[in-house]
Amino acid sequence: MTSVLLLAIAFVRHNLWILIMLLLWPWLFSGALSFEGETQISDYAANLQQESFYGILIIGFMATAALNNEQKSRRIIAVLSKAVSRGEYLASFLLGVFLVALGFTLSVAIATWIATLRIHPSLVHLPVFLLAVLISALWIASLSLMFSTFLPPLLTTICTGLGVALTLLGLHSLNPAWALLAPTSSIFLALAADPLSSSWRLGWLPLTTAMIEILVFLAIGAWSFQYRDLTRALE
Amino acid sequence: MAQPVLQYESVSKIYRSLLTRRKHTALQDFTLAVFPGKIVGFLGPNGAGKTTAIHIALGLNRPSSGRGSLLGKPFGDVGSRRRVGFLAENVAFYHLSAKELLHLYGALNAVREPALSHVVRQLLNKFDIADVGDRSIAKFSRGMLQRVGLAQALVNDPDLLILDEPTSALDPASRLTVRSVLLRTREAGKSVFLSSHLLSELEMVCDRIIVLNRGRVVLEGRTRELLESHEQCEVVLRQARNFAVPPSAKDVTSNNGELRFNVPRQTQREVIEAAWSAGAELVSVNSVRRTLEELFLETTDENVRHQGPKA
Repeated sequence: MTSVLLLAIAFVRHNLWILIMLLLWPWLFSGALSFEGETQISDYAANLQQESFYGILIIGFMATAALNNEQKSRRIIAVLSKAVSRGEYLASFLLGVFLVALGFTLSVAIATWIATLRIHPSLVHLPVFLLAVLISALWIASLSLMFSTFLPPLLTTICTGLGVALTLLGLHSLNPAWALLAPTSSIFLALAADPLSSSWRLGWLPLTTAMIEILVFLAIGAWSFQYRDLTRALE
Repeated sequence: MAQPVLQYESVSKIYRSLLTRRKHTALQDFTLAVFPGKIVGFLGPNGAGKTTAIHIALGLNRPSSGRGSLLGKPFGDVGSRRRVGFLAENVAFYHLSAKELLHLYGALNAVREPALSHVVRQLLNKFDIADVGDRSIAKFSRGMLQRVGLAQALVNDPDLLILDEPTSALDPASRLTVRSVLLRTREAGKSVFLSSHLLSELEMVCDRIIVLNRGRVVLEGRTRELLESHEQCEVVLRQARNFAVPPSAKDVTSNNGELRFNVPRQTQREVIEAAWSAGAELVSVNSVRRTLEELFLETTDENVRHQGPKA
């Protein structure tokens, strides 16, 4: 577990500029909104949705090229020649993505809270909304990590995109069975609704199922990663 | 007999292109055992399969067939890697400071504080990077990176040190440091598996030499025995004015009244008798000592490449 945490921190430090951008971005947008004259609650809600949407995509797709970058730069050799298993190595990327996503959602939460102090909207659903953002980002990251263990980066991105698209397609034919199989479709549906409205709802079942799926994707990725040669170039 | 610290048993590695299914055999029926307290030199031309063999031992690649063990455990075992120090040929690390890197790699090999900080300080001093220990390695030269690489390979006080071209970018002073590290590692009863193209370095420190060519072992043995030629001997004569040097003699030199030349081992007796008959005094007859470079060129295709194709 120590190895996973150490490598996750190294991953975050290596992607420091993305983290800084994600931490500052909500403040810039919330600040810009606050300086506009007559800002409505709906403007903040739309801003929050937009931030969350792009945040999910940026964070989720951070993992797409992570493994390939490490392999291309040969840093993977220095790490996996130590007492680190491939499963731990893969988990460290996911933990790194989690840390970035946590920083982003906290930044969004504080920026939104401060920006909306004047107009007192209902922020009661904001924690669950941001938890859904975090889990969605992790779900995409774990899906792309799984694909990246056996596919090249371009195909990884395409397959991850297809995975997200399929769940979005599920929004149109939402029935209980689909919601259970593709929990992110319910989550995406909730994220598309106004998070500052008192009627906003998201049950715990899709969140829990999504978390289980994240672990399943990680386990499949770790299993497939076992069989991969890490250095293929001729000396 | 002690258990080998590194053992390959008929290991082959075939790379297949995903699209064309074209095959490339990197290692073929590779068998080798490295025993404790030995420095084993591993050489071969580029593309011979040296790095592939090392990566298989560390579990980075999987063999197509065959098996092997690292410190008594099958290849790929995480626990055994805790007792291994490894420096890759093209060293690449996270862009942290040298000190942070050594702490990270030490911690990954389960070295805990306060011992870790102590070892890191020692290694930074040993490899002369203490002054720049807090600077990001992104600004380091290749030689400095290689010193960081050597330091990280030693941070866990390994039982087996696997070094792939450890001195290629180092200055002479740093090479001396590496040589003393290798010799001290052997004195401590630990083993070193050393792949290098710097043949003079290998000749100085290695107990055994393995030459790999096109994925196969073409020569293996004790360094001293390998460098002693069994085909040629050097004859030294005095007062050899009336002696006619035989046509088979090579490298004939005359200095301070001494005549030296090399002759094939099978003509040695004949030549000595001829020298005595001519009234010459026989000073010595010794096996010719070859250099590792000569041996390398003899046993690999490099000789052909070096001299060009025969007419």
